[in-house]
Amino acid sequence: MSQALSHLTRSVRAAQDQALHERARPPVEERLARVHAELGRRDVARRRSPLVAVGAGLAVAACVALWWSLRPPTPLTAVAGSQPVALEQWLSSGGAAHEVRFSDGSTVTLAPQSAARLLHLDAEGATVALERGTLHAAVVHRERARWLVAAGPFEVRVTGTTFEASYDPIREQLEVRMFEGSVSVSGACLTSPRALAGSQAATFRCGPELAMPAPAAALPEPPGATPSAPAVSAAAVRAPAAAPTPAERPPGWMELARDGRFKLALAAAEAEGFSALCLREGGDALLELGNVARLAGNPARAAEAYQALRQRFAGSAGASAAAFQLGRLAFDGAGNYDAARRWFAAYLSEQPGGAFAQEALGRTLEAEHRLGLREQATQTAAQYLARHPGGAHAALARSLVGE
Amino acid sequence: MARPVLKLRAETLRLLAPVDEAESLVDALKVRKPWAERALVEDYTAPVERLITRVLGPSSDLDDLVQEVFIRALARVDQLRDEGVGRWLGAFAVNVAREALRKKRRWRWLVSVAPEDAAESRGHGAAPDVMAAMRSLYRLLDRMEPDDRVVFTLRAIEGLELLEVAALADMSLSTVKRRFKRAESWLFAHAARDVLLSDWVRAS
Repeated sequence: MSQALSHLTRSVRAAQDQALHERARPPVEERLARVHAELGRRDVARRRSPLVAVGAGLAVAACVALWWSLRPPTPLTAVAGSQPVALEQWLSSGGAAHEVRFSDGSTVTLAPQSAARLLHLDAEGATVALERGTLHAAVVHRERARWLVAAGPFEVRVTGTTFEASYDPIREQLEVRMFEGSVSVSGACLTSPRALAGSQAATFRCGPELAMPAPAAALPEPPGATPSAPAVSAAAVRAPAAAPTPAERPPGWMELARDGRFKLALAAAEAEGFSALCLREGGDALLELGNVARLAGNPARAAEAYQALRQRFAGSAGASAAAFQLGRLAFDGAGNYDAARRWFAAYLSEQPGGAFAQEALGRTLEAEHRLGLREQATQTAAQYLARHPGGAHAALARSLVGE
Repeated sequence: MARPVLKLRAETLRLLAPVDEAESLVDALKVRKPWAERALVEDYTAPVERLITRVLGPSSDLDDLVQEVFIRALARVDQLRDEGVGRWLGAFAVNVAREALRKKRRWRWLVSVAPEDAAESRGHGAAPDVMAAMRSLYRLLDRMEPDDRVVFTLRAIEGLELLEVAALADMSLSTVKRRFKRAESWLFAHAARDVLLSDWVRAS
């Protein structure tokens, strides 16, 4: 066996062995009972097979008729002007609005200076990625309609409605304004999906510089904001000596995080036992905990939470988001571009069309450029330009491919 | 006659049941002794899972495929000879895995975008680069002809000798050699161009 592949196959074998070793199986009695039940069923089926053959002929005829009447509806199609729109095609509005019409009567209109791509089309709806700018969507309400607008780390789920979405990739900010119907907005930096209906409007942000307001004057930074100090929040300091009532109880780390008070939130998490939280909290909370530590300026704690999320909830969307954030920490914090590149590759492999895919590919490009990996950087640059020609790393990518 | 690979729990079961001390697992299976069927499932689930996983990679259908192996084995237990329960079951496992591959290829035109397989990310303690490499490797293997893939995975990942591969895959030794060589060259060429696998190939 070639030495070139043996390192890879040995590592794969070890990973598989470990996964199989940790695998939970039903009790042996249960497994054996299932085997016997299936054996019995097949035995009965074998004895009935002559009768079944006659019946099957009739059934096939009935099925063909049924299939014809219930055959799946054809996927939607999209046109811009008179030109059909292909998947992954870049839709750029330039100086004028740009309308895409769908075969079910729905329309998506890009405002001037906006850019989007059509990622997916099926019989039930479409997925549109809004890269920047403003999009006005009028989705016709139908049974089982399923539409999605992806904007950076956010997703807007739609069944039938009229709304407007504006996305600023630099500030990682999404604004949604409703005109009719309802939508649900989710995102890696939101703890839970948010429903909007009627004429509501909301702004969603992921960027730390916007998401972290200055601490309120009434709540000064606690002296013990560092992980080693006893983390007593300002609210706890002010609490009366008697047992606090629920209303007076100091806010937990998650409440503080939701208010954007990340240093206080981290201090509260330390008070509860940061490492214990990493073992106890659910997937969404762990991502939040890592973000809190990252935004509070403690990369070691952030990495601890993200690693716990990767290990405990492997395969989840949160675990993939943690891979991206670990790459970001390695890139921005330690300047370890090789580690960052591997984390971004893990993210892209797990979520090739994910909310952070553009950023992960861009940073991969930047990491390869900084590491002097010219050949890989040129390949990544070409890949980046094909997918995100208007992206934040497009200028670097163009300089690398010599455009 | 010496009884082949029976481990402690099966041994305990056997002691609890009034059986002939000289009775082998093979003999007991042929007359449908409950202790023997339980011993078979208990002792051979892990090796069967391992063989299927090597060929298919992480699969959410693993429990069903393992169950299918035992169903086929117990339905044809009269064909069992004394050459070894492990090899006999292994042949069923390889066959079930190969059928799963062919079925997947038959239907892939229908499922244009396969949903993320939750089982893919199992391997809790494995490093992310290994998990990513494993996914990339099996994505490449998905493009390989099923018989070539069976031979390659049994030889290169499971580490079996070519003769053992031939016995399990029901092929001649020369066919196994030819298929392995072809699969290895193809995989090396494609891995070297894969963004996640190229470093592994180069590092070697």
